[in-house]
Amino acid sequence: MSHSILVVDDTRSMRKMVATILQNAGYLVEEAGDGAEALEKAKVRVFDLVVTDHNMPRMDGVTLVRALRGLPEYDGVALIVLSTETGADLKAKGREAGATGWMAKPFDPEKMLDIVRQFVT
Amino acid sequence: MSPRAAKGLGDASAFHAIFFEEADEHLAAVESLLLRLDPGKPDAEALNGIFRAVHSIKGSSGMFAFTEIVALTHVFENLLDLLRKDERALARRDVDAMLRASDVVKAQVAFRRGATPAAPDMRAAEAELRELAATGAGPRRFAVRLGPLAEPVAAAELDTMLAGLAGMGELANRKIDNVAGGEIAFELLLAGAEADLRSVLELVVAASLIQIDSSAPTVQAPGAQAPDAQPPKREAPVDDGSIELFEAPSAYRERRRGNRRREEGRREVDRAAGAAQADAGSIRVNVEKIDRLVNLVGELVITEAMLEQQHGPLADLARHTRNLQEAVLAIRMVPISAVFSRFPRLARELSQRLGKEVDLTLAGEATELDRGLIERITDPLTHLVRNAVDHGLETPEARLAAGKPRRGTIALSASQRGGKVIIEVRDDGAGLDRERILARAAERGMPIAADAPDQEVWQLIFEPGFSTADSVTEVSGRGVGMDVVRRNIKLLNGTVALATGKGRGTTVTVSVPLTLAIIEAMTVGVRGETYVLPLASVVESRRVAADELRRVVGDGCTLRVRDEYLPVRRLGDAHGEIAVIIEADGSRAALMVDELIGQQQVVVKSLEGNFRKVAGISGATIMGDGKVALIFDVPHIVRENLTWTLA
Repeated sequence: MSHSILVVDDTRSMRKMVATILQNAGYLVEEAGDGAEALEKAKVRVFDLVVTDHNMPRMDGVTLVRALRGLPEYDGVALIVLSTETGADLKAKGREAGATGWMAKPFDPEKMLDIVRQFVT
Repeated sequence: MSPRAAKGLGDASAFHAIFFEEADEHLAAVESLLLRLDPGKPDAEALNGIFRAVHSIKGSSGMFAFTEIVALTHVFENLLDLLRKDERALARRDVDAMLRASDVVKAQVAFRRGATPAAPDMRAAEAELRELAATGAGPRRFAVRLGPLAEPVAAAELDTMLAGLAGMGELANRKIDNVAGGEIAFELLLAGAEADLRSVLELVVAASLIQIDSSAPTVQAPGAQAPDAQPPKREAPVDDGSIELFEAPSAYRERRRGNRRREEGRREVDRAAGAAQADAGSIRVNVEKIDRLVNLVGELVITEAMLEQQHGPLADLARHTRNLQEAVLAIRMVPISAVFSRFPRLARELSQRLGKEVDLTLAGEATELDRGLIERITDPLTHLVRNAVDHGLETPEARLAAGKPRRGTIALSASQRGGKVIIEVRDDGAGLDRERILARAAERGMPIAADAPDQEVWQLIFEPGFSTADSVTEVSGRGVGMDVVRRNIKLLNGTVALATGKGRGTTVTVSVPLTLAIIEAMTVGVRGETYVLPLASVVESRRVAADELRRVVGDGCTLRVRDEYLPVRRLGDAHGEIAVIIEADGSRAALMVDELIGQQQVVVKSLEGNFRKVAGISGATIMGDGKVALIFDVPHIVRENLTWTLA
């Protein structure tokens, strides 16, 4: 069974790009346009990994991470924030909310796959 | 199967089209938001919207290596950041500069798309934004506190520092308490960055003792220049793609292995959820739209009933309407796996905490329930599962001693029977202890005969404040007991039943209707008005003679039905010759009405939503003749007399 990954980004091109990279690597990918939509999708189905942008309308990435960590099913699911924002304060907030890692945009696709492979096996 | 390494993005240009389209949308939004911005009183939401759009364009441009766009959107973003954080007052020229910049980005996007032959010159726009961002903050008032001091600061040093600061800005409100344990405080009106101020202060005191609060910016003095002001620290336009992991993958995998049991539960959920989603042709629809549809069909059902009253039976119309109603209600149905999915983890965590060993099995997760019910049944079920782990199952040692397997089993199942959904929570634990319950009842002064039938004894645990747990554990026994479970289920027109045997475990069976939107009802008439009683709460009805009613203390009456005296409830001074015996929470009452009209399905509408909350009334419905009929709140009426009277 292929692993499923939820890709969250309000920027369509960025989201499609991340989704395609992961799909090309053999993962099943679902997309969400903001944190709130992602949270709904995550409640219907438990994904094996979530890659989320931070700066989004309705619900930002760190808030999404915190909400997901509040769901029992997401206890052991890796949650990676992918953002152009890399300030130490924000990263610390992400970490505190329960993020597994923080990746800066723009990113190297190979590096992203590397990370994903380490968490989804 | 392990996913194969991919050659990254492959052809990034495949995404260019999406990016161009998206960038155009964002730029159009930026432009319209900018044009609506009111300098002097800019709308924070509008600034945030512009920021997000520019930020999005920057992010994607970075991925496509459109470096000119990245460079311009970066300074654009810096200026916006100052504005939205209120560190710079929006001026007309800011709006103009941003409009020009967005035009240039648009031209650059057009060039990248191949729509224009020459690349626009972006430098002027970039320089303009940079200039505005750099002259950013006007003078701000910084409140500085240094202390508590470990030892006094050398007087000469302090003087030099204060003189230096006075040279940078305007010093005020000095409070100097330069002794060990004292504090040096002052305010400074400064056109510059906090970092600069801090670096001066650090020459004299340790960084950890410095506290700086900056007030909202004061109005920028004309011609005030702050060459040292720096835009807030932001990421470099092109990052090296650095990744920071908060947890090492090896530690993470280790943790996951420890959670294998939970994983299994999770897969179950996955499968159930997968099955629910398996139909490829599914779409997402806003719940409000569906609720509206349900309401409209409800109106249609009423219209159909009205037509029948006027024209006689219309068999086809009735059938089609009924089918349509069922189909619409089916849209709101969701599988109960939405609730069940949380229990494997709950059971695992609880059992670990309590030193018990549990296998949780799930069955019938695909059983469907109305969405509104799913939400309201979650808490009661969670409580039942908690109870099963906490009070139901014994410790592994006790189980072994009783000749049972070490691991206890909790089985959750759901099934549909007729118009009801039956949910069972079964454990193979110690079962209820009749003697202990009776002892506890005696302690609490609850009236029960020592030889009462089992079922009556088990009912005691549904009484408020009843708990036989020897120790009040962290898990259950914290006030929220079975009484709350029963009350919540009753509110859904459902029932809770319990079967148990000492040493053989306990089964709690919850039965709820498939939907809350329609109830089977008995309609009754009081003084020419029609009222509705949920059929599930009607026990029987009978005609009574006036002399059968016994007056009791106060102005209450009782009616003797077989061996039981029931309180009599009336609507105001309405007399009524027929008693409808209603039941709720295990108690009964006799409601006096003038006539029994019939039985039918009614579509429940909220009274609160359309009118206001009325004690004794749980909702309303519209009858076939178009009149509104109120639905009695049976638990309320059984509990207390109606306080309102008929007009």
